[in-house]
Amino acid sequence: MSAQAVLTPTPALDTAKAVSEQRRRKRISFLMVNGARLAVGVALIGSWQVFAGKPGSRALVLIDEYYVSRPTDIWDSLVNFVETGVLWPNVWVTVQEMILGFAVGLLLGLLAGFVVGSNRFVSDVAMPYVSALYSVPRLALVPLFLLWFGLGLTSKVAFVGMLVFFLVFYNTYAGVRDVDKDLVNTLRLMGAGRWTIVRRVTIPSAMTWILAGLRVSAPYALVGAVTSEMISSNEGLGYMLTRASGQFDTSGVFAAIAVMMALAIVVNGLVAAAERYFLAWKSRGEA
Amino acid sequence: MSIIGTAARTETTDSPSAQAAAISFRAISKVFVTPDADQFTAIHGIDLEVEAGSFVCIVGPSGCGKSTLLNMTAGLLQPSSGEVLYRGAPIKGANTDVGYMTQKDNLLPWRTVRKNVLLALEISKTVPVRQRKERVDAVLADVGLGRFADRYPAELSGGMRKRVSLARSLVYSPRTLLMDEPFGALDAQLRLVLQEQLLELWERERKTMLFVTHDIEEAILLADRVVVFGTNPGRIVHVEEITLERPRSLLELRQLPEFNQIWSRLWSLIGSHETKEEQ
Repeated sequence: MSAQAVLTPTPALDTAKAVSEQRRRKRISFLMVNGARLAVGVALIGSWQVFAGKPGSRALVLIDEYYVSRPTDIWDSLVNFVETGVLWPNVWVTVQEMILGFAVGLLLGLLAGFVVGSNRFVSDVAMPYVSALYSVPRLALVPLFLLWFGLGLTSKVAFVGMLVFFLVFYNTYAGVRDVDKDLVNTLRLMGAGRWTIVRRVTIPSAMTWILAGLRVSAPYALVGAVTSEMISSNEGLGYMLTRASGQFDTSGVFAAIAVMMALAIVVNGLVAAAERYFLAWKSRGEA
Repeated sequence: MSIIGTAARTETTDSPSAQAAAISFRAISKVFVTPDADQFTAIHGIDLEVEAGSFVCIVGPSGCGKSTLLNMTAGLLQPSSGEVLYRGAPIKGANTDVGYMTQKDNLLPWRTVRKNVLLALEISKTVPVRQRKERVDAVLADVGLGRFADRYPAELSGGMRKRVSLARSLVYSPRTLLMDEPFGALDAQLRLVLQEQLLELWERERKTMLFVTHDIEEAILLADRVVVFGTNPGRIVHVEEITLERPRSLLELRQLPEFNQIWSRLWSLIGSHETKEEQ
């Protein structure tokens, strides 16, 4: 190989050509990936539509629509939900629970994570208790929350808040402990006080961890809200779902699930945007 | 803390009391306990006075406790016995009067080069807000990083990060500078440029310098006094006063027989200790 390199004269590097070639390849792979994704989606939904139906009503029916419904029926249910004014109020209830619960869990989780993470003694004392609480199956607490906070919004917010709290707490705690001692010392020698160090080093440094905590916990806000609605509520997406299922309305169940999926996609998009904003320095560094 | 710092700073500009010891190490020893409960003596019986406004270089093989000494001066590490005085008083906690350039660059990865250097001014408040950006850009230009001010540390090479760290130590003019092999990772030409700049700066401002290096040539070029360390445990084996005329230039120094004599003497001291350790 090296012998060949010596024999063939190196051609002058044509940068513009190389760049445009690279761009062309990128565009092609973008089209390929997205085309394939679309094809898979169409194939899945299409075969669902084709193979599900009333048994014996026509050819190609493999699964009884009573169990799996059909995409067109689900769409009809969804349209029906919108037209009867059921959808948006219930979505709003769930979204409210998610937002409030997430905010409560996030704030308390950050605060507790910072306090426990930055104080060795507090951490040594508190952590066994936190771990013990964390290992309780979360669903088992829903009845207690209903007892304490009633059947309305508050108990759902509390449940979502608790789910989010632990995830945010653990990540913040780890993030604060992970702070580079040398960076702290560098600032101390410049004369920085405690608060400056927290603001300039601890928080930005823990941010990577905190955002990882957000990414994990945001979907849990939806899980928590819907779960507690399903256990006891008369409004929200979880309630819509249990009611549809109680009426053996499979299309309605799938329609509610579809709405939840859409909500989850929105939530993940928001978290990704937050990450891009706060960790801009990271992606730049890797580039 | 910062009030004491600024008050003390103005005091020296009035009276250049060059004779007073800026840093005194009195019978310093440092023993570390290793995780398996063994004891390791990093340095033993160090007595050293660093006069205010003087340039002292410490040379020696690796592992001889040079960095330990700097850490003590910065107040980040306490001696096991003996005491370290800074301007006549024992050091308690972080010594905010010193700028410390460690071997690691210690830049904040989420701040651009400019903002990393700016941070030193924001914290020390030594330069009025309006002049800060200008001052930062001037220092960055000095270390040859003007074009990279808006990059993040991860986008720079190791040598460039080192220079950012140098710029940050210089920008807020701490009275004393502790430098731990600041130019070790740089290529030869750049090292020469920065050494000359550091000398220029020192001759202008007469900061107290405690400078650790592997490079004997660098030590002779820069220092008033070269302190040679030996290992096992770290201790002072020789102190060489460098009386070569200032301002100095490395290219001229290399022609001087005197320079070469000092170089050979120091080299044999360090060399003999390194071989002794290998036996």
